Amino acid sequence: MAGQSELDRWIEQLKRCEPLKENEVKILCQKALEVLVEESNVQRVDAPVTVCGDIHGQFYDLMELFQVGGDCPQTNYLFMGDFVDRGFYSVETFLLLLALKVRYPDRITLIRGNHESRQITQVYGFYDECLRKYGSVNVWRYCTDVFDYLSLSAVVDNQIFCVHGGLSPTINTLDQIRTIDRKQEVPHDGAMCDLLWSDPEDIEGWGLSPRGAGYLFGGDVCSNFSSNNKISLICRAHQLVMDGYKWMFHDQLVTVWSAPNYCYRCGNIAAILELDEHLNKNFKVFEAAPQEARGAQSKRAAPDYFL
Amino acid sequence: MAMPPPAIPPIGLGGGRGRSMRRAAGDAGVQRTNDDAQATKMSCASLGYFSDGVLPLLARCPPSRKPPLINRGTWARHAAMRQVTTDFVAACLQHAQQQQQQQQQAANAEGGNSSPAEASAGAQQESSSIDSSSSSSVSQSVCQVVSLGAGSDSSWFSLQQQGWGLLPAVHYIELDYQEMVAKKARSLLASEQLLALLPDGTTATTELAGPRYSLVGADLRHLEQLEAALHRAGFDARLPTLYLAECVLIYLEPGEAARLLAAAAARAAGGGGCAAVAIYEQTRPDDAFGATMIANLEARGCPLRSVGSVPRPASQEARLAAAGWAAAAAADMAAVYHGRSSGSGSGSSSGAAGGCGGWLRPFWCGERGRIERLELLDELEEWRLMQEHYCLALGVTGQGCSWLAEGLQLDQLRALGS
Repeated sequence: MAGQSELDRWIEQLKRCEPLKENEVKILCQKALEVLVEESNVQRVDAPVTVCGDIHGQFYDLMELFQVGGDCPQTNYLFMGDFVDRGFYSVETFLLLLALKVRYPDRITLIRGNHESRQITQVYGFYDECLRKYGSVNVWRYCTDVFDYLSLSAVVDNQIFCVHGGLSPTINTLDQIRTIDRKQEVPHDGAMCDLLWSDPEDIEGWGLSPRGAGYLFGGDVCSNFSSNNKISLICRAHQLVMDGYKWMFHDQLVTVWSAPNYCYRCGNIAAILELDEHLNKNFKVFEAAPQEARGAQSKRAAPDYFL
Repeated sequence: MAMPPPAIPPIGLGGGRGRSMRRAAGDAGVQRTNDDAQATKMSCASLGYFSDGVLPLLARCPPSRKPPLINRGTWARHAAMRQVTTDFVAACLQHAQQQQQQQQQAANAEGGNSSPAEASAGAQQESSSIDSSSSSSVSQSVCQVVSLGAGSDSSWFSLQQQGWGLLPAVHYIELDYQEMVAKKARSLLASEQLLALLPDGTTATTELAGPRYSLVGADLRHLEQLEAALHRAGFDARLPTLYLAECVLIYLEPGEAARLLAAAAARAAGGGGCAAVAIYEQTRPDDAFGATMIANLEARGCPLRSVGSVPRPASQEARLAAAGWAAAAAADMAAVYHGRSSGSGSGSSSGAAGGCGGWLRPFWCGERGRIERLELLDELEEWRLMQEHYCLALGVTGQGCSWLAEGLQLDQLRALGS
């Protein structure tokens, strides 16, 4: 099994955007399962902590994020899912975060996004990337097995509820989330699916989601959930917001998005949310890593348009 | 899937329009963007977004799967341009029949009473579902379609293969660079399947000219070349004409694009006929997404030279008006697709739930519902951004041509754009 020195070596290697060998990935994932299986569906996190949204395999922008927010473990981090797909470096991105998790389990929290799924990664790039980089799908299998063990949500100092997507009409209390059997592929419907897929919207009550999974939920739903659970803020990711973060529902909910120039095409700014020990909020925004800092693949990047 | 005939030389024809305009940009990355454009249409066809049996013969590349956003956007573009084309032909046929009736009524005190509504039914339906019996009533060209920078677009062959009943009413003229045209002509002549679709009376050299389909070469930046090519194709300025400009004008200099549009309007005025134009191209270059799009495409060697002169849908209308087009309408593709103005929804994620209405015909609304179930689209914000950075602009000009503006629903499109 991986000792600390080996983990440190892997972390250094991954920080250079060099992927691990297949058997090393296997060991890392096995170790990660042992850590993650102990976590709750609503993982308790202590402030201070820096909350981050979608990364989507944009490795060099994750390095930019650590520049802006500070290195782990000096800074505590909570990543709200969607580590993989779309970008060129899902493998390196996810393995680095996972190695940090195994090395510093109390300093970094990873919760599951809707892209941490076998089905979605086969459409949006992670599967193909694993196949391309390793010549087999074994690494994809190890990683997707880890996905099943990722927690579904977190609550910071019993005050700030963090989840990838949003709320579910079948969930009124955090205890109901705690009873979900999460160790499975993301289902097509139901509470677990909704937490990873739903979006806030300026409506009353619940609405059908145009994504085809999860729901739209209004400010009243958000208020009720927060007061039922004595929550002061819902913090989520999942939706691209051009300024990196976006308040809704009279500051009862905030979307945080941490993938700058998403897909190398959207031109957006990214943000992270720093919560100090008193839960004071400070957003730090950042732009995409400069071109010269990017790997060869991003330099060749030719995002699709209609031509 | 049909195998490409072995006789075709391995020449990398593009999969859609506008390819050779990029070629003119003289860029090293052109071949790869050609492949992208081919692969995109092939991706759509292989996933069932639309059917195009001749595409593999013209766009010869291995099928690859594109992201759902790209497939859906390519479908939206296909739907918009196909609706314009079929609406145009149906409106022309209906107008021709009405004129015929009026002449008969003038000649005969009794007058005829047959319904002109028959032809307009064609506008409501995709080609394959149109009753083939209507083809017997169509024997000669009543209108022209001029596809500018057609590249290796397969539209005419696809409609012909599907047996669209109104197609015999059209003289379809494809224009592109001489070199591009020669390659496409060679491809067509080398394919038994494609050759069989060409009607009798088509002559072929390095170009094709015929009563129903012509393929002629010209550099669109040189109007005298364009006029000469139209002449070789047998262009008739008296017939109503639809110009298709799909990702073409945007690669020209602003002055070149404006002159081309002005020449088309003047051609209609000179011949006493009606003309329409349909433009699909990028818009809104000046926000964060637009600036990134401009930079990315420039890096790929296909700079959008005239986008600054038409920075939003309303400026497309202004450009057409300035070029002498009597009526114009434009809206971004998010509005066209969702059937409501882009400014109206409250949130970015509310898009795909929109009802029909707007500008798309019921047939395409139905298709929209079908294709939205083909793939899960988890890129809603990006989808909206992309669609807001493409626009559809329509123009109509000519004396007594309001029937054409009605047929193409300019008012409905304009309402979406405002």
